[in-house]
This record gives sequence, C-alpha cells and structure tokens, in this order.
Amino acid sequence: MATTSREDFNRQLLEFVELCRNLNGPFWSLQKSAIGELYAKNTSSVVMDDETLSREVHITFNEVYSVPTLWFNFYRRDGRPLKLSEIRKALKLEEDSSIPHLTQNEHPNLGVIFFNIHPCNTAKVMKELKIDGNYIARWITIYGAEVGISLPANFFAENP
Amino acid sequence: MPAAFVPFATFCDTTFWNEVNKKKLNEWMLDETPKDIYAGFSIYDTVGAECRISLSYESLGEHSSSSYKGQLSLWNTLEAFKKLDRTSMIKIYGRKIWNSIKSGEWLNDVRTLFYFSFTAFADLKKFKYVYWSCYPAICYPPDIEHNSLVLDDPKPLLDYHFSTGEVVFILAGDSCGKLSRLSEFSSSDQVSLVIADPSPVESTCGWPVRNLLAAISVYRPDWSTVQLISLRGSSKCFSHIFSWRQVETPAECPAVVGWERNVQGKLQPYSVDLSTQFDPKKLMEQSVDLNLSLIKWRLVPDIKLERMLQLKALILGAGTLGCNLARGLMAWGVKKITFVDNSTVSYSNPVRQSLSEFGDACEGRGKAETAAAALKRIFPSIDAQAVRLTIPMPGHTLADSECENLKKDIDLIESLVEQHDVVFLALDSREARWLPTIIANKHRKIAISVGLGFDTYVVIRHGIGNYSPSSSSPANEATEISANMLVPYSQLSCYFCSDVTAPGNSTNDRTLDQQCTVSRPGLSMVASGVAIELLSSVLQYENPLEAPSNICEADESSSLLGATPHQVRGFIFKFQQITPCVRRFERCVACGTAVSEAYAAEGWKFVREVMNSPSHLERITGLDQLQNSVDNVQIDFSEDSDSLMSL
Repeated sequence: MATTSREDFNRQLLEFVELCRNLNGPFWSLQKSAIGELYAKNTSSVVMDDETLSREVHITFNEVYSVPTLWFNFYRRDGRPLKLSEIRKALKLEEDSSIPHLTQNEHPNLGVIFFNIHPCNTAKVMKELKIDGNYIARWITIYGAEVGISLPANFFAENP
Repeated sequence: MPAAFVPFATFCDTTFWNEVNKKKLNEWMLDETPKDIYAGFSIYDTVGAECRISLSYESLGEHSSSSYKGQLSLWNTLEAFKKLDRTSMIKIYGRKIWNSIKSGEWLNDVRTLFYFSFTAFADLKKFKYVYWSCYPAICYPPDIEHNSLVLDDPKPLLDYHFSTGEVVFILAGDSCGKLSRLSEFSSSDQVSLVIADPSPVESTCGWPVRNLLAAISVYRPDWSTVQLISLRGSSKCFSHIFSWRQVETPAECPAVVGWERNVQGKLQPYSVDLSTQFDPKKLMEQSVDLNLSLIKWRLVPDIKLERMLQLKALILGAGTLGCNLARGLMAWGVKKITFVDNSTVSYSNPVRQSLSEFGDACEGRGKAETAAAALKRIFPSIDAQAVRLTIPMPGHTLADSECENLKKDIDLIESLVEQHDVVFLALDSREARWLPTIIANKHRKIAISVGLGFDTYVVIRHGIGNYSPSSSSPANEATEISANMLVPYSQLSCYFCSDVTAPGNSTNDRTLDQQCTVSRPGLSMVASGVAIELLSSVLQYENPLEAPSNICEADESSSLLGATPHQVRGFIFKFQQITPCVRRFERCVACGTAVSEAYAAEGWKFVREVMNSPSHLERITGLDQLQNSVDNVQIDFSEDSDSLMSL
C-alpha cells in the first residue's frame, strides 16, 4: 500500500511506537496537536564533529498526499538551530548531493520553522519498497535514514 | 573509587521559545513570578558527555513520565536577569530539596529531589534570549564511593518504568514496587533502588543520583551503602554499589552546587539569537528563497539562482511596464531594485500600474517613490529605491540656465547604471531611451528595452558595448556568423539600430491619444513577463555578457532555461510572437561608434547639443549622407517587375 488514511496512520503509528519500545528502537513520544491530530516526536543527542547536538524529529500525517511526513531540526548547545548547509555537513552529505525534496516550512502543529521532507514523492517511493511490516517502520527506513534514524536489525524479522 | 556524576546540559528548542513568546505576550506580560516548567529527560541517549535536558513546547504545559518539574523565572529586563544573586538563589533551591528529604516528601514524590530552576530574559523585539539553568545538587553524604557491574536483563525494569511512569522505584528480589515501600526494608542488602538515568556515559550515573543518595543517607542514617540500578533504554544498564562515610545528619542544608556551565566550561549564562526563526521579515526571506529553490528539485537542478538573487536592477520608468517588471524581478528573488521616474501617480494610473493605489494619486505621490514603497510593503527585505529625474531627451530644447542641472542629471544616471547589473528601459517615449542606451553601452551593462504599441509589443536586449578594438573585419564576422548562425552579444543591435533618422521630440504635434501610450491593458503584463524571462535565460548563459542570439529559429539549448533571443516581438491581435535577430548598425545614433566616442569625449555638452539639435546626431554618424544617397538612387523597374506588378 503506497498511501494511508488518517485512521490507518494513527493505528500504524501507535503500533510503530510500541514496536520501537519493545525492540529497543528509537524512543518516540506520542503527541496530540491542538485539534487532536496524532503525531510522534523523538528527541535525541547526536554527536557530529565532536559537538553534541540535539536532534528533534516529528512524524506527522499529511492529508493532501495521504502519507507520513518527516519534520526535523538540529539544535546546538545554546539552542541555535542548524542551517541547511550545516546539517548537510553534519550528515556528511556530499557537496552536490541533496536530501531529495527537502524544504523548510512551518510545522503544521507547532507553527515553528522545521525542515521537512516534502511528501510529494513519498507514495511513489513507498510503492517501490518491497518489504513488509508496519507502514511507518517501512517508511522510516527510507526517510529516517536521511537524518540518521535507523531501526534495529531485528525490526522486520520479528514483525510479521 | 570516588563517585562522579554526569551533569545536565539544557537544550532549548525553538518550539519552547515560541511558547515563551506567546505566553509572555498574551498571558504573563509584566508578571515576573516564577511559573511551573517541565524539562524532558531521556534514558535513550548514548552519546555526549552530559545528561540532556530538553525544554520544548510541552515544557510549559503538563508534566509527563519523562520530565522533571522546575520553575521558570522570566525577567522583564536584561539588567534584572544579570543582577540576580545566584548564590542565594541556589541556597534557597537547596533548602527546598533538603526540606523534601527531611520531611520524607521525596518518598511519595521523588521528583521534588530533581527540582530545577530556569532563569531567562527574552527580548521579544529582536528575538534574542539569555538563559541560565540551575540543577541543584546537595553535596551530601561525604566521601561517596562507587562500584558498578553490568546488569543482564533490564527489560522487566523498563516495562515497569513505562507502565507506571515511576522515575525511581525499588527492586526486591524479582519484583518492582513504589519507592514509598522503601520503609519495608531494614537492610540495604534486601533492596535495590532503580532510577531512570539520563546519563549517556557508560557506568557513570547522572546528576539526579546525587540528591537521591543524599535522601537515602538521611532517610537511613544507619545505612552506609545502597544498591542502585541505573536504568537506560538503549545502552547497557549498570548496577552500582554506592557507599559513603556515615555522619550525623546536619540540621541545615549542606552545600549546594548546580548552575550549569557554558560550552567553555565557565559559570556563565547562555545566549541565543533566534531572529531567523521568529522575525517575520526573516521568515519571509527564507520562504521566498526556499520556494525558488524548488526549481532545482526536478525542473532545472543546475540553475544558478544566485545570479537572480544577487542581481541589481535599474528600472527606468515606473509606469505600467516598470511596475510589472519589478513584480517579475521580485518573484525571481531579486533583492535590489531602483526606479527612476519624473512624474506623479495620476488618477488613471492605479488600475493599470500594479504598484500604485488610489491614495497615491490623491496625494500626488511620485511614481518611482510609490513603486518603491509598495515593493517594501510587499516584501520588507527588498532594497527598493526611487529616484525622481527627467531623462534628457533629444529634441527637448534646453535653456542655458538648465545646463548645470543637465550635468548633474547625467552624472546621476551614469552612477545609477554603474551601480546596477541590468537596466530596463520602460520609458514611454522613444527619445527618452536614447541617453540610457548610450550609457548602458558605455558601462557594458545588460540593457533591455520594452515597448508597447496598441496591440503589439517589443522586447530587445541591446548589444553589449564592445570597447576592445575589433580585430576582425566586418567581412570576417559575416562568415563567422553564417558558419554557426550565432550573433555574439556584442554584435546585437540596440533599440535604435534600425533607425535612419535621429530621435526627436515625439510629443510635438500629437493628440492626447497619440502622446499617451494607449495599449490593450493585458499587453504590459505579457511584455514585462517576456522581458523578465528573457533576462532570466540570458543570466543562465555561462557568461551572461556573452550570450549570443541565434539568427534563425531561437535555439532552445542556448542556456539552462532555453533560448536567448535578441528580440521578442508580439502581435496580440493574432496572438503571435516572433524572435528576430538584428545585427548592430555601425552608424547607429545611440550605440554607433561615432556616438560613443563623441559622448566619451564631450559628455554632457554632447548631450546638450543633441537635445537642442537632434540632426547633430545624423551629421556625426553620417546618416545624413546615407539619407542623401538614398534620395539620389534611381530605380529602374525592369519588365519582370512590371509583370510582377500586374499579378
């Protein structure tokens, strides 16, 4: 299935968060927006070039494209968000390579500027992905990798 | 070995400051009384040398199982923040925690041990923030030693932590229980304490353990040791044995430490400028640039957007064309636009000129000033300037008394052209384009003429001035051109090259409808749009000042954005457009060598002479002889022509 409904997204997200916890994956806390929309948040320390940064990642649902969307920011010790060029460097991306469809936008629930990977191509990518299991988990193996989120190796093995 | 503890590091994200902004503006206003605040911790961090504490949008809301409670003191002035007596403050916090320990409150609410303070000053105009956190730790009991060993299976402990939300709990045998049950055990061998430990450092416990040990040693003065399990989510968990020197419990709170150190390890506050995140002007700037960069995603990945973003554009004429040109430039991300115009907004203008309004006409504001002000309203970060000036024109006779002004005006136009990269000639008469053509040619600037008829339009990019003495003879150039069908930018014609007469005063002896440009209203938008896109294509040519034009069909492989034609002529009555390419005319009255040289040599005096007597131009260019020679030509019609005529 390449796209998902809001209802299914909520179900898959709850399952995903639980799976992560049981399999020692990244820790997600479930959040609700002012109008009750469910999304997940992960905040982690990451070390890049000897500097400890705080990485904040959110998974929201995009109604227009009917797919999950990844939002993120990296913060320095003093709370300054990293600029795109700095993130590029921190993620060790080649000078000319780019995270596909990366934009900066207002977070749909928080009204603050976040980087996001635009969902316009997500359905296509999901269609070509030939693995089974939780939809969010499959999706994040692609999109989480861009910001350094990875799932434990046993994630898909233990999960029908 | 002596025990060490990993200190806290506070990370405030922008969503936290966004909440602070909103609350301060709408709710707290000048109220400085401390507010409840919740700081998130994580037992999942495995990197870094400090325990991460996150202040985020939830921090001003309700507490969760992975947060500590504290107080936020937001001061109204930077001075108040700076002169806080932080030594006294930490003593007060320490006493609060000490009271929780002495009274046993901590057994029922362990988070009282981890109470923290966040002091800050927020400049809501400049979006600058200064802050300093304090995580008070009581230096007690004395001489803490510790040993640790790896814990095999923390899964049941993690499950208990998650299902109950307890930050500290006990483990006796195989069963977990609430901390308050600690009273059931008389010996420290019978029970372990488990703490959700935010420390990312293997085998070293986090900062909260200090106050926990202080509490245990006070609660159990007969104990000198305790087993403590440091619970981590994604790294190894350790079981520690802490021991200490037994002393009589002090009546007063012992020494307290805990103001956070800055990146350099000094006891100083943090400060951060978040204007790029909150200042609406900066947000718009970023949005505009990012939106443009979408072109790079798939359509034209290699486009050199910076050539647009850094462009400085001079628009001569702030009328219908000038306004629309500016809007097109602004949409392309151009940040520097200067208008030149000599007139004021009249009542007929606002409906056609996209940067003026009724009020501008009522107030009789200048067209250039009005357009520049409108651009700034639309996009505050744009650098839009206005210059009120009448461009000197051939045939518009000049009194001697006006010479001084003429000289000044020409100097001004020269410096304007010099300071910009591209000049748009969107003037309403032919002769007004004459001097700017000469000056743009002199400074080798991209000059684009846009002109409207009733239902036709023309967009011409003038040939780039070429001052290096050309080594190739005209004959050689001709072969070069025919070989590859390309005319170099320096060989393209200007607006005047096809003329065989000098420009004169075109408003003499004209009726009102002839004097004003009467055109189909949609035309200006079409023509301006074409002019902007001609520029954008030219700018994508490797060296824009060398962008050639194809002599036949426009060559769409010329630049990243396609063709770079010399001219675009449109005929809206048949919705048709052609792209002619015309070579430069050596005797041109504007870009011809004789004129360039005369202007270089005599400057404003030459301009004055032409203003008073346009035929001067025809003399120095030799056009007069050309006209005479045409008059002298005898044309014999052959019989073939006759037969053609009869068809």
